[in-house]
Amino acid sequence: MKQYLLLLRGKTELDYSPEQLQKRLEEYRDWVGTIQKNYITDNRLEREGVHLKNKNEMHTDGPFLEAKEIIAGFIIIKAENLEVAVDIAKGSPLLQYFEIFIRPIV
Amino acid sequence: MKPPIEESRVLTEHFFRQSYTKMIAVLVSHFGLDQISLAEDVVQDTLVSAMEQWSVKGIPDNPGGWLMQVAKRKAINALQRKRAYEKNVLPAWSTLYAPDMEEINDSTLKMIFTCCHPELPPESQVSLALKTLCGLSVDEISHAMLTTSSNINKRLYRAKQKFRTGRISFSIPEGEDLKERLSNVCTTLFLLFNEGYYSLHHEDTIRMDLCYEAIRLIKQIERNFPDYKKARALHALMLFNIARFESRLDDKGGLLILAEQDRTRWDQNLIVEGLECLHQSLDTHTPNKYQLMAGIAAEHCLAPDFQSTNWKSILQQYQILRKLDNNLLIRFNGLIAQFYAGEKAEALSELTTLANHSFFESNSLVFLTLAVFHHEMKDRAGSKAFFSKAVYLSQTIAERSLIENVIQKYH
Repeated sequence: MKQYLLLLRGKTELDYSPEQLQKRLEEYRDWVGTIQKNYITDNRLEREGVHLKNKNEMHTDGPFLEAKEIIAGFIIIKAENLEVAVDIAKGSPLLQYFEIFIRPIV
Repeated sequence: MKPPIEESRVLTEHFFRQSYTKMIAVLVSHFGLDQISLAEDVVQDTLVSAMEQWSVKGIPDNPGGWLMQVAKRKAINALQRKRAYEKNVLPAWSTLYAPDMEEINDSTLKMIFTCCHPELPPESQVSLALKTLCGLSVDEISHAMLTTSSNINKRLYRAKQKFRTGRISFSIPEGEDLKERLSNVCTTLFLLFNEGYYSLHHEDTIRMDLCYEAIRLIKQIERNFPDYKKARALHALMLFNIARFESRLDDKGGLLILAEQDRTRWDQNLIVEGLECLHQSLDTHTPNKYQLMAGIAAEHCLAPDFQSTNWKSILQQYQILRKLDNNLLIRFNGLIAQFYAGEKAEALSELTTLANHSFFESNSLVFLTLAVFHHEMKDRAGSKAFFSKAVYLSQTIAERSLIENVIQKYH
């Protein structure tokens, strides 16, 4: 089975209510529970970081006062083929909040 | 590998929401009421971090402690950035360390008293309570209160402006002040409850949540001030109302009048609990308005059907209630009791006068009641005119369906 990177891109979440945040957490954990046999690892990225264009050009990301598109995190799964990986990603509750880029890892 | 989900911890319902209110209360009690906006940002940010980290790492052993620690660190960082470090942070830093239950309770109580401070505009108090004591977002509040977010923001802004003047202290009042403020707390919590109870959107559970939040807060007041019987009476009133919550709606989400409700759907456990509360609240000689309203609600809850309602007792309680609070809605409801208690002509004549009051100008229920009164007194033409007026004035689908149900029954 091949490994696939699911890259999450979306807006910084500034205005979700406590109730919605808890719901997001629970939905995600439930979903990960259902993809145990494909799951390898996942993580979220902190919002503040650096964007290095070349040796001399550097952009600092954050802190954000308004919603801004960021790379929010990643999930690595294993799957028979790209189609299966896409199906798994389609089942993810994250799709309500993020765009998901699905790329096979070489 | 992650542990399978069955083995991992789960959060209690509304955990984030309740943690929000605790964190705000503790941070404000350390850093001051004028830092409430900063506390809100910090706590929001903390919950976002929790959502992200717990999503991948699982829920920690002590999620409440985790949140409090992170909020504390973030608050200190934020205050440092505001260069208020020496003035605010140093003294607070030494004591803000893993607050215990007692401290959280104490801070939350102070927050309840602050949100119900008489200096705050009354319309701000409920919004502030929903935000700060219940952990709802501005969107959720505007949704629940059927108004716009910008309206809610304005109300919250006005409250915070008051905080900045320094005239509202973050403390538990004493002596006579305490009694007065407790009374104010009851008023605000009753409003909060009613916001949930009387809004007519079937599909939204959030309004039910408001009712339960009001009950949670009134319980907290009772625990801390067991001698304050008014709170217990209000608690009883809330329980009697919520016991009938579900049966007010038919299967299409339309409202049903009392006579049409399926009484087997009333929650008997809540009614019993309400009676117990009401009983415990009755040791004073002068009744308060919540006792009377709860007494009236209890009569309805105890009647096996609409016909056998003890209208005489209800009417009596309305008469005493009117001496304490002669507002128009109480008068309106009192007249219904008077009608069914047998004083039909008097009740009809008084309701006809009352309906002309500008307060009831667009209140469909008053005109529906007039229609029913006329019908019961065999005046079909009069009845028909008022039914039409009630339909014309109805504002929601649920209300319209209530009126149409009644018309169907009578014609």
